[in-house]
Amino acid sequence: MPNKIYRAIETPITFKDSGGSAVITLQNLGTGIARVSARYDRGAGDLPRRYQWRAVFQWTTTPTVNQYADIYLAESDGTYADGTVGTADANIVVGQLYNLFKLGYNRVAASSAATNMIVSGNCLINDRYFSVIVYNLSSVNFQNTANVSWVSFTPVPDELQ
Amino acid sequence: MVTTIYRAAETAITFKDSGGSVVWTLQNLASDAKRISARYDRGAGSLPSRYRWRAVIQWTATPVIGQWIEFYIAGSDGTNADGNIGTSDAATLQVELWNMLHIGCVRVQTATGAANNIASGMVDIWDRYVSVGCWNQTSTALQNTANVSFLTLTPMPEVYLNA
Repeated sequence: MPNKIYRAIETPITFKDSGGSAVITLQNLGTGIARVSARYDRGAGDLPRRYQWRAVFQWTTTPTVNQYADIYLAESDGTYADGTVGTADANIVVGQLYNLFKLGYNRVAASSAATNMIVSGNCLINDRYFSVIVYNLSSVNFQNTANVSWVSFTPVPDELQ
Repeated sequence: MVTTIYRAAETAITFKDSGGSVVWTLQNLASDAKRISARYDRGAGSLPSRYRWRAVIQWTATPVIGQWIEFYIAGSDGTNADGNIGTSDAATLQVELWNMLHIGCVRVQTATGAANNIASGMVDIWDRYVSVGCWNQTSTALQNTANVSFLTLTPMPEVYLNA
């Protein structure tokens, strides 16, 4: 009997100003600023490899259509982190981004403040620990309200039917 | 019964100046120098194919931000090695790297000597034997201290979990 392989869906890991799985301060993120989240520990043992990421960002005032913020992934074995990004929610320098994996970008779709701009994609996470990085390359700050901008990672491992 | 497919993490293979799984002399590796590691024997029989590589690199003096070092993999069946490389830790040539698999690079993150610069990625290894190679494309040498620069290969095969 043939066995199909479906995708399962597990509990999302959320990166936000507060109340998420790990903290990343995206409230009022300045133009030209790269911000790394606190490091998330997926735990020991066997783990999902495939994730769907989703980034919801709001800019303040009137952002320029087609400008964007980059989103990066930094994995760590617990000692050595890609880009030496550290373990705490903090600003990092552009040089550190050179050694990170770029997940994608979230483009300004409308010149409206306080409006959700949403993008998603798939990625592989292999190490036990990881962090997410947001680099605001637009000419305006993120919205100055907590938790309206955030990134999530939902485990979507294969499942044998 | 539902079977979910996760990834397992096994013991890392380390390539470094000393004390690792095999020797790879990265201490004081000069600008534009190419270096191949000693050959690692993964053993006979069935083996993991999917590996995570991670390279930790320190440069000396003041490296130029954005410059990089390249990393390569050479598989071997025990007789025929990609790039026709040897089995010992040694300097190598650009032409040998051409026939190896380029797995990625580490870029200079900060113009500071003796600072970690770290990158990682995934690679499939099919042969029993494997060597790693690098090409320091920066204008500065690697840090002149043993074992501060190294590369690891961590087996991460799929694993079936029955719920």
